[in-house]
Amino acid sequence: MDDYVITVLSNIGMISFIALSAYLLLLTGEISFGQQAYFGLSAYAAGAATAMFQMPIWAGILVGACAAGIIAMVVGALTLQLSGLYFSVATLAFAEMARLILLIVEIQVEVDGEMVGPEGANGFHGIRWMFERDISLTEFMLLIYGLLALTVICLLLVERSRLGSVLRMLGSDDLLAEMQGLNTVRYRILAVGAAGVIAGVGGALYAHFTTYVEPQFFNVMLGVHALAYGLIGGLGTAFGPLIGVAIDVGFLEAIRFIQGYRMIVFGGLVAILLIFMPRGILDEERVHRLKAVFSRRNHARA
Amino acid sequence: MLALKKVEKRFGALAALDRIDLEVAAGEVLGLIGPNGSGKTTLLNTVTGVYPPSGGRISFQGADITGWRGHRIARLGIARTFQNIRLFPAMTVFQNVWASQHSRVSGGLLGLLRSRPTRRCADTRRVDEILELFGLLKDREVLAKNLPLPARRRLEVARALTTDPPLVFLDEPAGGMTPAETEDMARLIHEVVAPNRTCVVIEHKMALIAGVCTRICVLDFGRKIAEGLPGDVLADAKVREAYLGRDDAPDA
Repeated sequence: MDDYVITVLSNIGMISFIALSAYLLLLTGEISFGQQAYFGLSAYAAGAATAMFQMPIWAGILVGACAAGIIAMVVGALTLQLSGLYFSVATLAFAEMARLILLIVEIQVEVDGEMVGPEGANGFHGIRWMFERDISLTEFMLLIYGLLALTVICLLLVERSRLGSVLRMLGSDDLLAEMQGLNTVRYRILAVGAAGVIAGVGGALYAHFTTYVEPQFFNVMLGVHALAYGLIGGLGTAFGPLIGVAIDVGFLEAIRFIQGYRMIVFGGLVAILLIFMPRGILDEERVHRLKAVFSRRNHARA
Repeated sequence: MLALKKVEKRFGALAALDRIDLEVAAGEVLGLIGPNGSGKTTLLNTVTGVYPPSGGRISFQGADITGWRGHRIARLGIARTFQNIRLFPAMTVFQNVWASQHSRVSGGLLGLLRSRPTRRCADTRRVDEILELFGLLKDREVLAKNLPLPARRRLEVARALTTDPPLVFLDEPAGGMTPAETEDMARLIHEVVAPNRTCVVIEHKMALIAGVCTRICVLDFGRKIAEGLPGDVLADAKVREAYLGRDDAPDA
């Protein structure tokens, strides 16, 4: 595989994390325009861990994911009283606030005679873990997909368990869920935290893949895309947002030849898709029908 | 079992519940009737913690539950259905009942993660038993939104029973049903819901009320205007005036 293909595939993998993060919140009925903040904050935290404090990569990813999860839970607790549009606006405001803070943060430490650390608007250079360890792009891509597979497996296990039903209960009818004895507040904070962790893993990987992060990358467009992945691919299963990412990135790469028009074509396509499939390609009903087909086949075989 | 003392609920200047005193005794089937807007559903919402009362005390099995949040009240053992049928539409019939059992699962988050709807586990069997009782087992894998109305009403009642609550509120369980379907629902309430538990039924259909209730309480303009045995209450002059004195089409 040439480097271009590997880079595109790695980008698809890393973006998938933020797609899954937004998806988890969509399941619980919340539309967050702020998941890019956790992606970005984790990229900075993980970059700082490995580049400034010489931690190993796994510790960097852990630091980034935990930081993102904890901040997400704090923000979640503060915005708990808000629902629907108000929640969306609050998440957007928080994400922009986080981005603007990263624009002015300058903390640098000396590592091997060189200054390393976030440099405000100039971004955070020198996250060179990959070069220092002589890790190839292919190897890093495998790391990305390994962690992505792990995340997807976790989400699928959650969905098969009662916890998955609990999340869907929250998303479907808050009051009804509460009336079934569900502590909606607790599970909402839990979901927000888990979504932060998932976005955080992606952000930590991103920082080490590009060796350089800047606040500008974590703007609201990333958050909008993150939502679009789930809404295009479908909210019936964790594979939905992955399909969404593949369609989004793959389609945009495939129609590069029409240059400036491609975003227009793409926007139109998304609009049409959402009109005819409001909960995405793999929505609950299609997933349900697919499952029925599979279980019938298994019965026939048995 | 359930006791309301001077319970008030005001929405702005409107007193939806005006100092209601009400006792529900263990084992009875209490019919809660009254014209539209008389405060029946508000009373149910106040007791189940949808919103806190503006005044007064509510106690259940000796515990003061005034102002508690809904999930705690539900866990204590008060289940309910909804007048305008609330189901999880994108879940199957089975999942609707199964998911609502989660408060029976111990072990916190890990317990929830470990709990799966496998054929062998006791919870699954319990759900299937309840579905069978309500004639829903054949629709087990149908999405709730694709069910016809009488089946959706039955599913709501079935779901309310899944945690074995000592007290169940049914909010117009026969709303929108034909006489034959209403009769079927009355039979289910009498044979399945009422035994072994206390039941409060809000209903407009007198056939159902007279058929299943052991006692009746009448609300009008947020006040309790009568209470007693079905025969006496339905013959009461004030009750007849409240019902017949103005247009009162059942809001089915």
